[in-house]
Amino acid sequence: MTKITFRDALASGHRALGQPVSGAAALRHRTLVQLAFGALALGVPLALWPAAATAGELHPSFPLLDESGVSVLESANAVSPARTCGTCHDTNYIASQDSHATSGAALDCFLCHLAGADDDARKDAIASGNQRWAATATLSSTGIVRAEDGTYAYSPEAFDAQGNVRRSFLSVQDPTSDACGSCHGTVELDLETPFLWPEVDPVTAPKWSSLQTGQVFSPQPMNESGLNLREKGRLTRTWDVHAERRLDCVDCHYSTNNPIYRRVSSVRPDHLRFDARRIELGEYLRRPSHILAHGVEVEAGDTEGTMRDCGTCHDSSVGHDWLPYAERHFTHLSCAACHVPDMHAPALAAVDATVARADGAPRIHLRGVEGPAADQWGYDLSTSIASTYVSGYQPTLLPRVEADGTTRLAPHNLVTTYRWIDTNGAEVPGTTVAAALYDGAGRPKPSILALFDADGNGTWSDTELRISTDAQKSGVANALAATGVAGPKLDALTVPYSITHGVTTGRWALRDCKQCHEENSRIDRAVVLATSGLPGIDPTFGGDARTSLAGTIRNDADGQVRFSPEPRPETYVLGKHANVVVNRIGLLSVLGVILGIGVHALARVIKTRMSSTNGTAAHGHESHGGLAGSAGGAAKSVYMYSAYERFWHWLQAAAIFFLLVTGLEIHFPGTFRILGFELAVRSHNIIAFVVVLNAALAAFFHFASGEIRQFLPEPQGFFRGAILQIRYYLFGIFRGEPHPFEKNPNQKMNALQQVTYLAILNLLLPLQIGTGLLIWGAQRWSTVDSVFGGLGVLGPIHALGAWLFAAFLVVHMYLTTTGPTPTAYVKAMVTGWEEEPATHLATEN
Amino acid sequence: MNARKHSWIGILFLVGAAIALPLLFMTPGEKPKADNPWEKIPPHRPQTNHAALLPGPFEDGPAVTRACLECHEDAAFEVMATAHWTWEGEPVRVDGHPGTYKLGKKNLINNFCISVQSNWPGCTSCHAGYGWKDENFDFSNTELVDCLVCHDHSGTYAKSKGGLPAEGVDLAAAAQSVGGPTRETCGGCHFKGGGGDAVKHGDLDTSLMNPPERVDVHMGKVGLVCVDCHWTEKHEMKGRSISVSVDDRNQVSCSDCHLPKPHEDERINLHADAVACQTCHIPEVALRERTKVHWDWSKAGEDRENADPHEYLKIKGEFIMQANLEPEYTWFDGTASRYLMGDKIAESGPTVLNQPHGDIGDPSSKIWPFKVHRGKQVYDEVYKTLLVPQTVGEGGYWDKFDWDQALRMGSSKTGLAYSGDYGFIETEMFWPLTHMVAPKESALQCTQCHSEDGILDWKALGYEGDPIDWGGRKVRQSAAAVEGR
Repeated sequence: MTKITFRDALASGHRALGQPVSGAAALRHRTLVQLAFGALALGVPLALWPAAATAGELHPSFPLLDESGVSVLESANAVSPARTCGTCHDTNYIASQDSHATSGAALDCFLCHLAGADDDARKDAIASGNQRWAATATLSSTGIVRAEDGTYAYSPEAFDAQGNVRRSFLSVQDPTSDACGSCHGTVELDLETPFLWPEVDPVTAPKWSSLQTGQVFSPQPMNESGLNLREKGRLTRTWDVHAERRLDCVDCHYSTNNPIYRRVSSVRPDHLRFDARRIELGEYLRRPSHILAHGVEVEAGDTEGTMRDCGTCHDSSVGHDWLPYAERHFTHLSCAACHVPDMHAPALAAVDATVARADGAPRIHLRGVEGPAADQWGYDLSTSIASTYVSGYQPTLLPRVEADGTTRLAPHNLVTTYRWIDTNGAEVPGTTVAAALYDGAGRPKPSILALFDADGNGTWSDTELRISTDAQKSGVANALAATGVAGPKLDALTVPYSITHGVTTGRWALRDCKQCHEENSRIDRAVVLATSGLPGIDPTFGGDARTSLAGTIRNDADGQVRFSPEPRPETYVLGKHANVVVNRIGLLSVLGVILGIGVHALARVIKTRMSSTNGTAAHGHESHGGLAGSAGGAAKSVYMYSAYERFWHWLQAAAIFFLLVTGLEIHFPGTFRILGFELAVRSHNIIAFVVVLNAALAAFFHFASGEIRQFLPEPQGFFRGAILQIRYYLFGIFRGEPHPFEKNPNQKMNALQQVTYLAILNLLLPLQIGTGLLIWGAQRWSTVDSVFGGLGVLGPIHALGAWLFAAFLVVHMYLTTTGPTPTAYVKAMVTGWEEEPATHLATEN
Repeated sequence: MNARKHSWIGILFLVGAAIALPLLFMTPGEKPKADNPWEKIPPHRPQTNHAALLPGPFEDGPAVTRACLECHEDAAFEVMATAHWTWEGEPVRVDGHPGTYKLGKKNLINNFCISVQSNWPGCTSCHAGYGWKDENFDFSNTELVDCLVCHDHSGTYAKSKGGLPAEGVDLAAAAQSVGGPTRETCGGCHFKGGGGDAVKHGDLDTSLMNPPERVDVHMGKVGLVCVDCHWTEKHEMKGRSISVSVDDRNQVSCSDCHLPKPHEDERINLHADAVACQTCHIPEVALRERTKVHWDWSKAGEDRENADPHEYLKIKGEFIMQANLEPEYTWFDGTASRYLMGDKIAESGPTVLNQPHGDIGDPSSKIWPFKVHRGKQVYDEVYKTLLVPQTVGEGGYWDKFDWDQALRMGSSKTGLAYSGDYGFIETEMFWPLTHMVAPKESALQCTQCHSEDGILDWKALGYEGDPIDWGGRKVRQSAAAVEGR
């Protein structure tokens, strides 16, 4: 009978059954995988590896060495990571390529590889000029060293008899996301603590990638964060799906010679899918490349674009079934364009470094927040964001050349910096600007104060300290020159920062077509660069050459500086782009036709009224062509249209009407909301094939039956017939003259009809079918499309054709009312039987 | 001629078809059928007003039952076939025992109040009948069926010792109010199992009478009542628990209403083969009321001054009540072993009264959340069996605080051998959690399990390590699959 486990289990709170509680499991599973992989490669059976090993246990204990390779216990000198770790690892090799160590600072392995590295203590040591002890200071929170009067003393209890650090004091690991986040961006892996914006130094401002774009790497659902987010209750998505799915930074940004992640060599023979030859694990551990895989945002020579892109892990052909023209979307859009639809955190919009707070912090303007925090001094957002409303922002889609060389629209944030530059073009740092504005005690210099103190109250307010006049400009410039800045000049620079984190799953990705396929859409919506620019200073574009910043910058009347991206000419987005000239011509032709018909119809109505009031209506041709109803005399019916003729006619009528309506919605999705953009496109494509098929069958029918002759104008008498017909519509119809053309089953069409249908069937219809097919097939035959100029040409032509079709339909429908009675022709096309006025029959007989 | 005249109707039809049919058949089909649980909820029958039918007055419970049976002739016979009446189930096989057993509250031992036997009057206030106060209760008497305990809508009906209506209950008012079972009628017993609110289950307590969404999404958000899931036919209700049932016939399951893999996210659906819905969707229970996780009988009988009755009672011993209980997880195939009266206790470690069956290699097993109730209860040091004390009634433990006497009295009723030497041993009882389903936003997140300090102990569950890194389980091929080859 054991009484211990029962109590222990109760006390431990451990939640899995039947297992005694183990110690803090600090094992990096990945490390173990890597080691196990290596073990296999080395021929060591996996079973030999201790199942319960932790990273700390795997890494052998080691002595801390100083610069001369002597144990610090003996020398009491500062630890040299290069010597300490260099006992086993090739720290010369590592230092030679580690971009983290090339900034002049000594190599500090502990900072990234130690659980509980003390970055603050390290920074304090550097700040107090104690560079040599910086790495030692990193160990501050481990209990190995104690700070003592500006230097550090080692705790003997942290070392064993051989002088090695005891494992309980030091746990070596591969870098965690938290470690990366301490410099690069905002990382919050804890689910229990509501996420708040982390505190940073207001001037030096680490965590730049969060500041530049609002990217947050956290598995926490947004609605459980501590931020005051817009529509927070709805935001059950996580900050980043990769964090949610338990990926770490180093899963994508891996060591580039890690044999597990090694990319397939570019010199691989075509027949080889996998090249098993790679460095042994031991070799890798000795010389691990510290060039971490990265995208194209860092200019780093041959490792540029080493990082896996979305496609190396994800298969975009799965899960996008719902997306019409998926391939076309993939060709033109980066994954992030849809999968990073909105940023729900603040990001820099503008930095005004032309003035500074006494500590050198610039004035900043934030995107995605409302209230006082949108304008503040310095980069520390932790307090201001905690008490403000975070409305979030939509990234700006800009064409970006990706690692594979293709150009796609990718989400960016634009940050505009107003600053002083010297004659070399180098930005004047904030501390220098502060030195020009303030005296040693942080008080405004009187000469400068006089320039900005508009209300003369002896100090400047936040709103007053802003360069807006030439006097202020030259005043500050002179002050800067006095501090030693050569030729200070105002300058503005707009840099696009691409957004690659903050990714979300399909459920939260952009799915609404009209986010892009609408007149004013994400494709070219203007973005505010700065709420107040500097007079006369227009931003120039900076950043890497991969992102194209084609577009226009304008200084609006409200004082805001806005940028409107201009999509590349080859980008033609249905529903968004339209040729204005074509639409004007089209609309005018339809309106003109309607106007003409209106006048014509009105004249007919007036004429008919007059006739009937004159009492002369009741015989002969009087009513013919008028609007007065049934004709006089005994009417006789003629079977004019066979069932099939009526079928193909009405099918074509319904289908073309459907195409016009859906086409209108596709062309102006913001104005016409009928089926919804997606359904409109799909059904337009389907019914278009009905039209084509119906036209083909009808053509076959007409050729086979010989009815085609109905459409063919006869050479003799054609012009006379046409002139008679025109004359009739212009004059005769009002005078009650008989219809000049005598319609009968053998000759149903007058000369005007024949020539119109010839034009429509031989020109307009083929044009619409051709352009329509090419637009429909844009994804399948993109090369064929480009021969014709791509969608940018095909779209407007198709639209023009549609306008002309609409104009034709209006005329066509109106002319059906010119029969013996206004409805006679329609009735004939419905029933097949056309009523002929008695007089006509008489002449016919 | 006539046919020609009306040919336009045919043409209209054909034109319509030529437009509509391509649209219908060419537009991409609907997404695979979305989860639509509402379709499965049985319709609620309209309530019949019984006020005129049952004018009363009724002198006692059986009088009400007689009135009910005048119209609902088969109702009593139906009830008498169910476990609500018999307190025992269909014959089943039990691990380590020959033959079959009809298991139920009637004859099993737990680690709360231990056993119904010898303690009938105290326990049977939750029996759907009248007057079960000893072993001689007549289970064939239809008049003794208590209709009101499940059908009362007046909210005034209550039962007392032996299952008789409590004093002062207006039987006529209760009878006239009758309708289908409500949260209150079911909860009257099931929310208060173990002798008080929330004590026994952890996922069933009186907060479910009218819960907010975050306590129970089914009852709080969409307003379900118990019988919407516990479908009932002829008074036989779906739903079992391994506290008394070792098989899983007639079980309620999420997939009764939901698709087996209803998530949009394929990654989450992939979990469904190895993880029960409940595991993620019930991250914790006892959200409003504390539930009992530990009951130590060995401390009973002491006169402790000012003891918190939630921590100590002289008649029962020491307790630990836990709020926001985080479940424990193990493999579970829906069935369990069962400690039967007279079984030997475990040779080492706690004696598990109902060990869930299942293991990582079993394709039908999934990781399930459990409340584990740990107890310390009385056993026979010589015969190595759990003992049943008589607690209620004259001379019982709660009367005299004399274990020896209570055990002798208990043994005389149960027939368990008692040597006279008793002690206390640890026991564990598993309560699968399936109520208090959280809104989907509150379901477990990936990293709550898949991280270094995640809530699942992968090794204990039989994995080599976190399956994200080490891969999923390898299941044994089922016999059927092998035969099918």
